Amino acid sequence: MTKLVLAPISRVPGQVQIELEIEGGKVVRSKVAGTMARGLEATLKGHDPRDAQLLTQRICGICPVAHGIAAAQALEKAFGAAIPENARVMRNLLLGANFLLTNIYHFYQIALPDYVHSLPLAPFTPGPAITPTLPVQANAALVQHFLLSLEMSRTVQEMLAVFGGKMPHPSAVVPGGVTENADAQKVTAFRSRLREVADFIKNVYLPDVHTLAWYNPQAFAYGAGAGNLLSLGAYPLKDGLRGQPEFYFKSGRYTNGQPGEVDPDKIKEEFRYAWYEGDSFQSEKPGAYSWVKAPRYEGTAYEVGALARMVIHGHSGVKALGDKAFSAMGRHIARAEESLLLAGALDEWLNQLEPGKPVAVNLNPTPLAQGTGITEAPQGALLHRLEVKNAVIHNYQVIAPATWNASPRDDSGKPGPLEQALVGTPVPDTTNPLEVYRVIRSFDLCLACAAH
Amino acid sequence: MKPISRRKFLELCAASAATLGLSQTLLPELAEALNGVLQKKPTVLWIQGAACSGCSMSLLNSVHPDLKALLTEIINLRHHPQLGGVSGQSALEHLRQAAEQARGKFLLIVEGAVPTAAGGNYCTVGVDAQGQAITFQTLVKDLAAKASLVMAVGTCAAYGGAAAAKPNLTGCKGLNALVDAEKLINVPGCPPHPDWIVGTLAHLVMYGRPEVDDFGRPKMFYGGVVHDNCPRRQYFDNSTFALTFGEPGCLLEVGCKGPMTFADCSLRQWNGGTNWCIRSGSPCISCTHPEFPAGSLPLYGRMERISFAGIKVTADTVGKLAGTATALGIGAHLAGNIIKGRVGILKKGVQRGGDTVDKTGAGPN
Ligand code: SF4
Ligand code: SF4
Repeated sequence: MTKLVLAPISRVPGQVQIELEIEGGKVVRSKVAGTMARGLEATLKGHDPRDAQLLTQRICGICPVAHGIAAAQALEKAFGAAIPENARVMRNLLLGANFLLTNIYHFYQIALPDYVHSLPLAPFTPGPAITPTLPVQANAALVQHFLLSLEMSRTVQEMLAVFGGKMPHPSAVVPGGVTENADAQKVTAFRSRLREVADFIKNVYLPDVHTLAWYNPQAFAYGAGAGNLLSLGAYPLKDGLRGQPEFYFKSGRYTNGQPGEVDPDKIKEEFRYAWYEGDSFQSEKPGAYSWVKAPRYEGTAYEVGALARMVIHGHSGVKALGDKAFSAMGRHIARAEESLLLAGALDEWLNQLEPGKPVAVNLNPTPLAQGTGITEAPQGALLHRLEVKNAVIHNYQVIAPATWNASPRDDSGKPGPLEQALVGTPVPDTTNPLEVYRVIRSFDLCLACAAH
Repeated sequence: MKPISRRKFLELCAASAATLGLSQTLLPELAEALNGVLQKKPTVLWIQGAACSGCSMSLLNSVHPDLKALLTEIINLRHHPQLGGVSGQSALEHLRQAAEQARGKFLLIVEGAVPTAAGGNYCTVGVDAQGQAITFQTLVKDLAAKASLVMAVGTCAAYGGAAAAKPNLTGCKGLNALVDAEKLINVPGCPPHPDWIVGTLAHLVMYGRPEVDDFGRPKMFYGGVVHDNCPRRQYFDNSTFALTFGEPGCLLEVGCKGPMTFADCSLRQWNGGTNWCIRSGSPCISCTHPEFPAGSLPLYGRMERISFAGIKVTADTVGKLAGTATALGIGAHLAGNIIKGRVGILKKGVQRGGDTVDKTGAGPN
């Protein structure tokens, strides 16, 4: 048996360390450790509840919109505020743009260098030692698109600025709504950029993913994991406070192949193998190996992210992949298909903005309250729980997507989703465990979010 | 060929602020200036600690020079955890080698704060050959000692920022507490504008260290106050205040900290001139401030450090707060209005809280 310790893992936001045991050319056991914690939840305590929105955004500069929306929702639930229609629509536009940004960024900047020779330019070189599977020309095209994707991330960030004020860390989502007004000029500014990005997704990104998949069929054969999926749902089509919320991306679970519902109250964080005792850090705790806790739904670990969303949404292209969807390559296809779907939806939602109509209501904070905000971040299910006492934040809990995916073993010793997915991955060369990196990066992990 | 004069460069930075971003004007001149001047692009090593990656994402928004031009023409970025290629021990080995090869000559860029509690164990960045974890704190100390200059990108790296907010369980520190002031340049912001990062880099490459203020921030970007050139300034002068988000008016009553904030956002704007905080109706939360976020709380509450109610606050009182750049900023810009009695008359009849200057001091120590 060979033991490998992999750290740092480049191109994964935040710090992660992976330990592997390899036998017979395959991973037989793995440990995924988040090695950075900031303790941001504790910094919220004692402050004006309305500060939660902009402060929790600072958990992640890549998916700040999702944190902002989850926190704003938690506050609105706690204080019983119904946000104006314009605010609901604008938040959907912002969240959708953040999804496009992250999905494109993830494929080209994070995942691609594990498959193609990247730019012969520092810091991209030296890159991973790979044996190219793509014909030279296809490889060259992907490298060109890698550069093009940088332009796209700029363009999408401009879309986010149109209604969000700026990006990263948009300013315009506030408890009670948004601050930016809808007008024809902004709609045009958003739409013209959206069309450009939608073109890119349709004509470049999605075809690129399929090209990569075509030349790397073996990447469908590893990285499956247990196949249990969970989505909390996102993009409300009606405001939940005015009736049953209805989501574009539905909430749901997939457990051993069986669909099921989600009750957010059944999500609990376990920490036997994490450096915590309750909410307090315990950096010397014996047996613990990660700053990431282990969220579980009725004791089960669930994979979250685009694959979960597309399976639960019933996306035909992803469904058609069957079991192959659960793989290092399948997750990339799910993200690309999702991007195409969203680009179309955003174009429609843009028409729902009503210039001149209100965008925010005043929040009437009460001294004692609690609320939960649930949405999807691009990387997966996101939950914020807020408790207010004496008019200040008494407790705040964030369960981020990578808290699920990069979780360590739970109280019963069962491994987290990435830990499960790594088992069985071939390692033909222990000095260059390329397939392992591909599995790690097929999850859109953010370790800054995971432990926060 | 000679590089453009420093004066011309600074003009370009400022001129672009008034138009469409550094990027629009800088590169043609810069490319010309660099042509043949830089025999060798300086080595830059970028490391990340207790960070959210927002600063790196912001860098991607640099328009002109865009990331590719920056990397091909201006700097030799030999390490960046999110753009870089290799992983595992070879990544750290590569970083170590790059630092040795350019010892005493490279620029170290740090993103994120440095956790110092529990021996630095709240952030480890890899393992050594013996399997021992290497803390970010050790890495920063090691590399900073070998670098010619250290650039803190973002408020967390510069002063601790969100990562160091109370109770700061991880003992996060900004580089201002760890690196000698002469060796350090701070480019704060949560995140910083890409022009601030790239413009500071370009200045370093061509002319060396830019002139900085008391908090280590390049004056060319942080020399003015947001409130100064704010498009809502007319509302402020006329005491027309927005009381709900989305309303027209000065944003002071909904939390704007523009008067205490040194940054050029009001001119430069964000994301290629698309928008920025105050233009979108959101208060400035003073994200470039050495005390951010603590000094800006409550974010949607009216500035606590100095309140404008009643004309009791005289120019003298404001003047007494001088001695910190923050107070100077407020003093210079509000004193005039306070004397003229413009500040303090609310159009919408809001009930206000305190009406005196906060005695606890108005700036970071
Ligand atoms: S207080 Fe803020 S919104 Fe009002 S004029 Fe000053 S910077 Fe602008
Ligand atoms: S306007 Fe204020 S909060 Fe917004 S980016 Fe500039 S300094 Fe930061």
